[in-house]
Amino acid sequence: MTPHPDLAAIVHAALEQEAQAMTIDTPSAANRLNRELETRRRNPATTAGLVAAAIIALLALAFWSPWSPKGTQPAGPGPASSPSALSDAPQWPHELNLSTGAVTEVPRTWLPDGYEFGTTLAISPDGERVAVGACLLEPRGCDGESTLSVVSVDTGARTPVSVPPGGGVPGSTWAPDGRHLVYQLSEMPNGIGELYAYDIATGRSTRLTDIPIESASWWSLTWSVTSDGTVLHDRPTTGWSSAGWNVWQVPVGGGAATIRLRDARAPEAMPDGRIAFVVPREGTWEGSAVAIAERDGSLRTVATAASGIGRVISSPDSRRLAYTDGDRTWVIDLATGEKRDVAAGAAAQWVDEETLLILP
Amino acid sequence: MEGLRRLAPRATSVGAPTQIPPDATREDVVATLFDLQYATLVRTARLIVDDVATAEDVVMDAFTSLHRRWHTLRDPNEAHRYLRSCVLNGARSQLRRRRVRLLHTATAAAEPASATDVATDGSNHAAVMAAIRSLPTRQRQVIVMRFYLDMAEAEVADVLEISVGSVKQHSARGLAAVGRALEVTE
Repeated sequence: MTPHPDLAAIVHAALEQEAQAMTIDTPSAANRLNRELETRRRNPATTAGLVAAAIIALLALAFWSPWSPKGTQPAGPGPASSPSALSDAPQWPHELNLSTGAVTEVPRTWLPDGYEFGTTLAISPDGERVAVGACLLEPRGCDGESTLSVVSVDTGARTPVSVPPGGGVPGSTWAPDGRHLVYQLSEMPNGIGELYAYDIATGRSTRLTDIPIESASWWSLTWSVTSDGTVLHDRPTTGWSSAGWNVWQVPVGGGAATIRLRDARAPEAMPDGRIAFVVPREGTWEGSAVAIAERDGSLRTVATAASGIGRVISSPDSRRLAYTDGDRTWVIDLATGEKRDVAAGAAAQWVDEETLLILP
Repeated sequence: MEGLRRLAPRATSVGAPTQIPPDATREDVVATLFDLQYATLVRTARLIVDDVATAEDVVMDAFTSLHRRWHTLRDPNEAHRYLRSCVLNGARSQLRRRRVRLLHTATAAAEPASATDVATDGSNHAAVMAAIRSLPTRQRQVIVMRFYLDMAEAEVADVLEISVGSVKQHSARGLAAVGRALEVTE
């Protein structure tokens, strides 16, 4: 069937009409751009301190890795009591000590030449390896070619993770056993994001999900792996986020998937067996609250969104949750309910009980 | 963006190249391109992502990216192409800022129809836009680039890094879907 010759003109006219109906406030937008660029300009004012911290970190790698959970806590004063934000937006992934506010940038040596950090920076459970998702800087950054590799924290040696061809890697997570890396592959040209489990020992990837192409648009899933090797991941009920989300579960070695939680997204397997998750909000990817599914199956809300909650991660002792609300990271103490804004950017991982890995 | 030297008079078309003097600073160029192209880029992004706030965010990201990556541009006079590419691809993916969203929401979550939908040809306009909004993301991108930005197939293929054949296919399928909505076939 050949499209009607006038159809192109009809579509053009409709798009033109729709676009021109918009009211654009360019002066206000210019002010916003000025503010954002000013924020970036202010960061170089602290470059001396950050460069010093980075140099110290790089030198320390020769003797001891600050990135291992087994490493020594940074020297400094005792736990901070200030409830205010401790860190504001270094434009580089960094480690943030919640007690002292100390910021240590991730070594740039973890990146291949010509690449920038993508959405993945995940430290293995034993602290000895880091999964690094990187995007080729030119020509389109993370909208173009991306890679996944595992880097030795001690030696810096990089091992590429072989992924099925044709796609980019939006993110990856370690299984608690350290033997598997679960990643999502965005397969071009349809952009379907299936989950795969990469076996570190064999170098093979097993596909975990099978999302029907006809009901899919494009999205990034959020997933977590339990201590018994079950991959929890979210998935919209149809191709549209406003239709709702459920949390599914599938063995890390592959197999049948079943629904674990309804009306939930962004699951986080807590070390004590509970599941933290984001309460979905209709019409948007970001959710309205953080909740916990207790071991007895009951659900309780622990924090509500100021802006919109992206994801939540659990501290190693399951006593605190870090979650992203808008563009900020918050930490909540589950025993007291006290929560505080700790940093700009998204919390990617708890390095240890007092240290968060932040992605700007 | 007051206080910055402007390089060219105000223009209205996206992609209009502005010859950049060799001594132009990054701030001058970004300010000038912002004046020239912000509105059009937001309109373009809005046709792909549906809501104005996301479109504004995408375009803002493109300008901050241009500012940040200025030294990596091979030819500063191609900055407008970089912006357009950022916006077109950024509308489909916002990985750069780790703000991952669904780009294609159900019509119930989309913004209310504009006043133009009830203009003289309101029913057709509403039907056409509803059909375009329901297209898969890639088809919608191609339709906007081909029929709003009037980009050639080869240019679309280059920006999206797909084959010309894929561009033809997405374009044909997108038009066919709109045609079905209007019950226009040949």
